[in-house]
Amino acid sequence: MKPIYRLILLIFLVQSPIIYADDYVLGHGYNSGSWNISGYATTELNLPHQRAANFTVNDFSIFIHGRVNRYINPFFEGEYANQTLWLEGAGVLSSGAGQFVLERLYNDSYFTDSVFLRAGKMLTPVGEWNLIHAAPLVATTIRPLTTYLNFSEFTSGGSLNYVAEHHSLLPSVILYYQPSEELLPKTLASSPYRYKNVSGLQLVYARDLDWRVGFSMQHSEVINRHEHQNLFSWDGRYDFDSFALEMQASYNRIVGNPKIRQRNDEWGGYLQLTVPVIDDWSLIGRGETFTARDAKSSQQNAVFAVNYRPNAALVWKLEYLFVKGATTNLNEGVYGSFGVMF
Amino acid sequence: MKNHTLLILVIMSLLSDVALATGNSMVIIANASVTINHLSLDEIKDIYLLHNRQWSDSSPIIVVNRPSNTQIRSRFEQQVLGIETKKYALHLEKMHYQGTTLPVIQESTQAVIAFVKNVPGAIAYIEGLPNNSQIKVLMELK
Repeated sequence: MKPIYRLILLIFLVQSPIIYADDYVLGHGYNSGSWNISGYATTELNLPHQRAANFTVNDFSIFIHGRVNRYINPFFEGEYANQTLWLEGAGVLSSGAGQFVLERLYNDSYFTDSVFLRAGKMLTPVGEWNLIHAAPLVATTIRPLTTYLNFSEFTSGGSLNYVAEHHSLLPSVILYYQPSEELLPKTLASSPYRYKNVSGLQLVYARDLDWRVGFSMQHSEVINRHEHQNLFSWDGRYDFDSFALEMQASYNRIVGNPKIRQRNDEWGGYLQLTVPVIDDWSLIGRGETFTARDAKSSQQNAVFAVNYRPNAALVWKLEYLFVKGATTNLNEGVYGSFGVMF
Repeated sequence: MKNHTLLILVIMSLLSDVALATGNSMVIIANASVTINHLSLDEIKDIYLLHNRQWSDSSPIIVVNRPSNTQIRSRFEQQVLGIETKKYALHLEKMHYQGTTLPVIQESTQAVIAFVKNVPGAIAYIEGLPNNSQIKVLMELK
């Protein structure tokens, strides 16, 4: 081994504050020294009315997290997505390969215990769903349009984060900026807008795990449409007993190149209620309306789902999606999935 | 003979750590390197919800938990966190996905005490008072 590599290895080992290993716990990943490797996998059986039924591995994700010292705390998440295993009318493994996606690659540097700088590719802080969008962590297989459709889901740049203390009157704050284009974006087929010059702010008030109120705003350029947009989003969650009520609403003002769209104002919102039934079973009901910039009319959709979650890291979901109005990304039908964090 | 003596000393050392770690009171313990001597319930809650990840001297907090099916963890969740088990477990999964290091799981009281004794910045909960100079008690809950 070259002396310089030996030196780097030595510095790395010395900087690692603790070397320990504990027993493996499902969903907690595997620890080795100051590093943790984990991931999640989701398979979906989709039976939409007006499209071919399919059985798909819609995420096999690995994430690696290091906690080296105050200034070096790297995080990587890469996933293999959208691998159709069976497609109605085409058969098994007949519709090509899935895609490799770089979801996150960043480093956190702590200035104090509550202020840190994140640099790299990260999930954009708009609402709560986008930050925890892994299938085993969210209530339904179908994701509300409001939580991803009209803003940059990923930011490749930097963010300054302030984490508010418990019971503080101050909110947690994130300020972020992406000067150029997204690092290794998804294909245009799965993510049709390309953003640059993205800047934004998120404010979050939260009390334990009982309630959360968030406000997000984002300015961006949609470079492949020659548009500029200003998005404002509000989200909230309220847990009472074992019930959970959550919502997100957004308004987006679009300027530039008006001929390519139906309207300059885009808006949407959803309201979701989770009701525990027995033991590990719960029922979910959600209603959403979304008016997309390119659609002539709004879309209303409603999801009724049943979840079986025998472990926090593992969930089975079955749901029916009703759709009325414009067909914006969602198709009426039955959807089922199995998700596990490992 | 030498080996036997060493083994007996190790066993005695372990037993002396846990000899007083019995009884009904729950105590919050930390490694002796931790510079503070007391934590409020809110501060403990903040640490176990993984909202606070550094001690006041900026050294990392190493949170120790017991497995989710143990009686003492249920008692801790109820008495200190005031959060039901499933909700806390899902919260930890969400924090983990967001890049936060999760608590280290230790299977027994002896393992918890040994871990806290040896790892700077470690914090844990046990039943009964520990008998070890490398461990400090930050709070006692009846």
